[in-house]
Amino acid sequence: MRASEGEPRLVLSGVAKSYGRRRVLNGVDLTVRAGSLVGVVGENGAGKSTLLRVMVGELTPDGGEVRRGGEVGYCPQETVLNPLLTIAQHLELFRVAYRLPDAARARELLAEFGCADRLDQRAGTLSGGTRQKLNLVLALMHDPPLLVLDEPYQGFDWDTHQRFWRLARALRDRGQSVVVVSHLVHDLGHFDAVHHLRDGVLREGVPAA
Amino acid sequence: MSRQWTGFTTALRFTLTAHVRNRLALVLAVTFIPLWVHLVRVCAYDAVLHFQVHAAGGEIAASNNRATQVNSALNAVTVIVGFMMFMEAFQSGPLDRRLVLAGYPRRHLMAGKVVALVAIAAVLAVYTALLLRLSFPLEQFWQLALAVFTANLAYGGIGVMLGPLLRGELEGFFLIIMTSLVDAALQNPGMNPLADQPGLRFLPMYAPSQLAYTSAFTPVWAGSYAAGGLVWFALCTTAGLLFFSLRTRSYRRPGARGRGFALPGQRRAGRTTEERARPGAEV
Repeated sequence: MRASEGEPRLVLSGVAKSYGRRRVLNGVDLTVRAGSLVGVVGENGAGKSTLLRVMVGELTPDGGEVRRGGEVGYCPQETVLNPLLTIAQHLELFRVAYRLPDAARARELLAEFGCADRLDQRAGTLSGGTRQKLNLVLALMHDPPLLVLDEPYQGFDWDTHQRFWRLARALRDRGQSVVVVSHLVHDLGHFDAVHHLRDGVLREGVPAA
Repeated sequence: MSRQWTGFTTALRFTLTAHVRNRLALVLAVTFIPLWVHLVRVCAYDAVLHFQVHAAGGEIAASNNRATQVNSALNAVTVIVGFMMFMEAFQSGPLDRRLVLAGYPRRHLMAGKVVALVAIAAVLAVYTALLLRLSFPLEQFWQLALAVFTANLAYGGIGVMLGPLLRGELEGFFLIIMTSLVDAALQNPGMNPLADQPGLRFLPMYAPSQLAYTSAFTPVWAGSYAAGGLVWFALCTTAGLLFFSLRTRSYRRPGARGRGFALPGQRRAGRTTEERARPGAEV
C-alpha cells in the first residue's frame, strides 16, 4: 500500500501552541496515513518534541485540532522509567495500561533488541542504550496503529540503530503508521515523507542547507 | 480478576516495591528513629513537667525526658514517612504520566499510592511505639501506635501532595523537614506547656501529639483525637489527587481537544480497533 493511499491515522489541522509569549507551533497541518513512515526534522528548539507531545495528547494545543485514529504508542525523547522497578515490572505496568492479556509481544521486541535476558534487572542499573531500548519497547508492545517516536534511538550502537530501522519498516509494511523525530541526515532515506519544522510551521521536504 | 482490581493491585504492588527498594528511607527508618529516641533519652533534661494535654482532659505531670522522647519520635517518623511518600510520588511522576497517557486509570495509580501509605504508616507506627515501649513503660501501647499512625498519615499525605506539585527534590525535602520540625517544636510540652494558642490545633501534628501524650502517660481513652490526623490525610491526599490529575493527560479523556476517529476494524487483544479508538473508554 502506498503511503498516500492509506487511511488517515493522524490529522493535525492548524495546531498552535505557545509557551508564555513564545509561539512554538503556529498552525501546523499534517496527515499521517496507514502504512507510512513519516519523519519530522528541525533544528534544536524548533518545537519537534512539543509537536509530538501534542500529537499524542500529552499537551493540549492552544488552537487547531488533533484527530487520532486509534491508540497511540509514544516513545518520549527522554527515557521515562522508574529506576527502582525491573524491566519485567515495567512490562507488567504497561501491559495493564494497554489492557493486553500478556506481554508476549514486549518480550519478543526485547529479544529482537538483544536484552531479553535482563528482565529482572532494575531500570536504574541498566546502561543508557538498554534503558532506551526498554523506553522504545514500552511504546511498541501493544502494536498500536499509530507510533510516535521522539528520537527513539539515542544511545543505540550502530547495529541496534540499524535494527530499529528494520523494525520501523516492518511495522510500516504491516500497515502501522510511524512518525519519527530525527536530526540525523543519514536517516532521511528511511522515510516515505519528511516534514521540516521551522518557525512553528511544518513543511514537506528537507530545506537546502 | 476484574480489570479494576488488576489495575489497583498492580499499582499497589509496584508502589510498595519501590518503597522497599528505597534504601535510604529504609536505613533512616531502622536507624534514625531509635537513634533520635536514644539521644533524647540520654541527653534531655529529666524533671517532672506539668503540661496541658486537652485530650487527657487537663494538666498532666510527666517526665520532661519522656515527653520529649515521644515528641522526638513523632518528629523523626513523620519526617521519614513524608520523605518516603514524597520521593515515591516525585520519582514515579514522569512514569505515572506516561502510564496515564497509555491508558492506566489515574484512580488506580493514586489508590495504589494511598494504600501503600496506609500500610507503611501502620508498620512504622507499631515500630515507633515499640521503640518507645523499650525506652520507658507506656500507659497505652496501642493507643500510642494509633497516634503515631495518624501523624504518619498526615505527613505521608503531605508527601503525596507535594510529589506531583513540586519541580525539585530539594524543595520537597526542605518543606517536609521544616514543617515537621516546626510542628513538633510547637507541640513539645517542654517548649509549649499550655498548648492553648488558637492556631496550634490546626497544625498536622496537634491531634496526634495530644493523643500520643495521653497514651504515653495516662489511661484515658482519647481515640477521637485520631480524627485530626485523618482530616489532614484526607485533605492532602485529595489535593495530591487533584494535582496528579492536573499534571497527567490521557488521550482517552472525554472532552479532550484531540479526537479519535474510527479505523477499519481489526480485532486484537480482545478489542477491535474501533473499541481501542473510542474516546473516553476506560478500563
